[in-house]
Amino acid sequence: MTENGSMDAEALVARFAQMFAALAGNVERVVRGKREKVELALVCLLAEGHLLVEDVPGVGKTTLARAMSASVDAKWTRIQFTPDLLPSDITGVSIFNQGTSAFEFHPGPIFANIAVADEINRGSPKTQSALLEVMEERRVSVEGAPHPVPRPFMVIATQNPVDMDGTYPLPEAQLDRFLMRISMGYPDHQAEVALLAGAPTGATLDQMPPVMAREDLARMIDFAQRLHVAPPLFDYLVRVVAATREHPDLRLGASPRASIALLRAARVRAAAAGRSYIVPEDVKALAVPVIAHRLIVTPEAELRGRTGADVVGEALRNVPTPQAAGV
Amino acid sequence: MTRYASLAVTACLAAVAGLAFQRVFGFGPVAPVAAVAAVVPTVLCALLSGPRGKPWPLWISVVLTVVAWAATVTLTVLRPALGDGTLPRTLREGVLGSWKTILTTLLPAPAEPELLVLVSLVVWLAAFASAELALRTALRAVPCVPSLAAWAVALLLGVDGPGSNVPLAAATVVLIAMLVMLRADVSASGMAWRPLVVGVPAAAVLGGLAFASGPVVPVGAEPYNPREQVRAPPPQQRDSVSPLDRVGGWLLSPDQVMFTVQSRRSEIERLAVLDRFDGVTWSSTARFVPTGRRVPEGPKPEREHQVGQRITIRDLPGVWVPAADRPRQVDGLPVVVDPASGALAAAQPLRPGQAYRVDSVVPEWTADDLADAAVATDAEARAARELPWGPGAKEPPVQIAEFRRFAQAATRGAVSPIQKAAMLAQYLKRYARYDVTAPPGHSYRQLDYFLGEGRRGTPEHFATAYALLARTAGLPSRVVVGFDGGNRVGDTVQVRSGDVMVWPEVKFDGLGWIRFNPMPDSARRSKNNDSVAAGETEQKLEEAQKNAASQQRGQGPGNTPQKKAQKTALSEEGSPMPWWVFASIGVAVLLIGYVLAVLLAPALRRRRRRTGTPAARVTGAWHQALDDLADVGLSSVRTLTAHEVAQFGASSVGTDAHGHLRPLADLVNRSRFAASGPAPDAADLAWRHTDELGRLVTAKAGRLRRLRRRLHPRSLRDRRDVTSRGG
Repeated sequence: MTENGSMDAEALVARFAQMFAALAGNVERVVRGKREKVELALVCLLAEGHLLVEDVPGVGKTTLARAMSASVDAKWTRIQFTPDLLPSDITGVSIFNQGTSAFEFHPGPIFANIAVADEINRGSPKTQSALLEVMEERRVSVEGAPHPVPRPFMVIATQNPVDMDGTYPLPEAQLDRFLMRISMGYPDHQAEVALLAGAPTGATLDQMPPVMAREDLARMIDFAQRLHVAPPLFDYLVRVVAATREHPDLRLGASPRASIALLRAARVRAAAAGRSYIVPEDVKALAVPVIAHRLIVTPEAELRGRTGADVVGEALRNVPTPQAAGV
Repeated sequence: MTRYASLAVTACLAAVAGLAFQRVFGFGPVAPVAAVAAVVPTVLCALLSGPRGKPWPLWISVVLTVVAWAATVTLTVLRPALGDGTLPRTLREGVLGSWKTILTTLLPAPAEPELLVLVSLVVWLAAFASAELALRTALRAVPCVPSLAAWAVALLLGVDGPGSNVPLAAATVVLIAMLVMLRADVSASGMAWRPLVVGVPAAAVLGGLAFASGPVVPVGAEPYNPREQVRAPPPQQRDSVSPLDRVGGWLLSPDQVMFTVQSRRSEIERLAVLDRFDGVTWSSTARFVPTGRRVPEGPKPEREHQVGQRITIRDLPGVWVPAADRPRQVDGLPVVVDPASGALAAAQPLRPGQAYRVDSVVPEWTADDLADAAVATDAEARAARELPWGPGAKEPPVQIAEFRRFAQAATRGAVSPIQKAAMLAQYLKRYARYDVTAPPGHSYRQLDYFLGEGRRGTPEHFATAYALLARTAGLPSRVVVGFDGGNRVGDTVQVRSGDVMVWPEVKFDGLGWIRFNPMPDSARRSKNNDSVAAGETEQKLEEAQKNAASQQRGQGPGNTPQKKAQKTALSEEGSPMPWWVFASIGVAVLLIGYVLAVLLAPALRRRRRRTGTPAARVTGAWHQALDDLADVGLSSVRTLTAHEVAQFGASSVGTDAHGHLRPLADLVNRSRFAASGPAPDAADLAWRHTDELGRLVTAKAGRLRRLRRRLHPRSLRDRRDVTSRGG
């Protein structure tokens, strides 16, 4: 990168960071006390990934999705997954138009910038698999005809890990398509008090002003993926991911898709921090939310209480970090 | 401020280099000259440097310093010459010829103005050049080079001088270290006190080590001595009349007071050493050289005693200066000295009333020393065995064969050189009578008459006959004229003409010249009753010679005493050093080397880390910060990111440290992972943060803990080697 190019990148990345902060601040107006989760969700959005929010009801999963879509002036839809939900209820159907004597495609709710798949694990496997194509290829094929979804496109799926009766756990292939899995968690005492105190007069989703246009969001996505990555960081990232594949507590390690996802997310995080380059801190900060849900722990390890997050944490503690002064 | 402090150090360096001339002149004369010559040009350069640090053109400085030196040396060193109008000649001699004079003078050289000019000139040049280099260059150690050159001059001229320059060398080490530390950051406006506070004690320790270890450092060879390359002045005819020729006359008028001696101990005063015989007369081959006061040492005997004599000349004629053998130091009389024999001569003929003090070291020989002594075989000894035919002779004189037969008869049965020499002396003692009226002369013919028909003679005859007989027997010999005894008047011994004595000496390997007494015992009895007894040393020597000869007589070759002597000599000269000495030296060297290494390695690393490209300097700053944090418990950063290290620093050192570590981590992350490298000011900023962090860590960890960690072997390891493996 030339000096001028470097200066441009510095200016652009500063603007990126400013817009990211504005976006996060806007979302946080309704999702209080969860700045870190909000930022992770926005990282996911700007990395063009899909987010799986796993938590108990009432902690703001849907609110987060709605607040994000409202903040970017994007079209959003909500799909409530139930056992009798059909794939066509999501993707859309072709209906014969007697006037034109032709089949017309009527897009389903998935055709939105942000699609909230609420309680995704309550949908049947057949319905869940309807999301596979659109999540990866960003298009829906109906009767052989592809129908691309708008850009940006993001699926925010929620699921309740407690009440598992009548649910269908997401298959590995489905989980792997989610860039990140986060857990909202309960707000801390102070945030919950503030939530109650501001409830009557606080910002509501309906009143949230958009702080960013869809076009701006698309530009930010493109910009983030052009950030510089030093060669040692590629090596570090691969080492972290590969460490999960050889771990004895895992039945299934992370796939190359996980490496790509981690790199994309790290780029966005770096830009959000005002940097035009990635540092190891970005990888470390995102490794657990990006990788952990893709791992399958062995039954023995599961009995010992081991989780995918534990394994990723262990990998981060063992894999040598590319030293900042390693020249 | 740093400039002026550097100038002060360069002046001290030049002054110390000037003091190194103390081996040439002694401290007294050199100290004021060196001080003035070091300070004045430095002050001049400081004044010419300008208030803003931009010095005047060099040529102005050079012209002014030349003028200043001429004025200063005229008003100080050459002030005596200013009064008598010899200033130009003395100045010229001092600048151009003083080094030759010094190299041909036994040290310490006399503190003559024309010689001290050289000291002033060398020190002045060194101080001026050092000051100019300090002002005009940013190189740290270069300003000490001129002073080191002055050191080299002082060492070369004083290589044979008395005293030691080791303390001055240690001081120079300290001053150079101080100079380097002072000039560590010449661009900084203020003084770099911190490195000084740490470095000066370290430099002092270094200097102390240099001072302590300097004398015990093994020397593989003798130092280069430029005096060996200088042609000594040709021998001069010091006296028109040989002292040997005066002996007969002195003995005939024995009451003439030649000189008086004030001394607690009676010794034989040696006057002249005559080592060359041409068939008719004995003369001296001494190559006299000027000396300030010192006389070089001769062979080192096992036992010796010191004698201090104050001698006042009365009627002693000529230039030969009496002194106990062997003189070491002469004060009060300008003399020249023959370094080989130690014989003294005055620069001008002696005058009544002249007084001087001479300190001598008189060797004491025992029978054991002499028993197994071998005849010397060096060049001097070979010359001392020659038997010339005589001036103009075409064939060897017939007397030589007779002398040889005489010597063989006198030494029949002798199995060793000392036995041969002692038997010859004893034989002559018994063979002839002492008679002061015997006709003088010591040619072959006259000695043939003495040994053949006359059989009476003066010490001249006995000594010269012995010397010739010894030479025919293969013993290197020479003749010495001196005085033995005298009349004691109060504390003073009056040495009269009748006390004159001539004795032969034989040279033995490792012992040097040993005196023998072939005079009959009646010679002493013939002296006046108020004569002092023969010196204790002389009596002991004769006794030792007798004992040595008797020991040899009873034992054949390969006897036990010889083996014993050989064993003793071996134990003294060639005995192997005990293993524990080598082990101790080795351990001490290892320890000192280790301590120096663990103390110097971090400093050198830090210095290296501050150099290079901005990226390398940022990296160096980070490594230095990691080293500092190691003092508060940071063990490994293998899996830590820069900000995690910063968090550790915050928890270990405090939030102030985090205030420096966080931006430092950002800088180092940018340097390492960004597409473009850091700017130079980023590197400066990184080092400022690191320096501040170092101070905070020092305050937190304490100097003792830091020192303890410094002494740990891991101090030798560069963190870069560790981190590079990790990343």
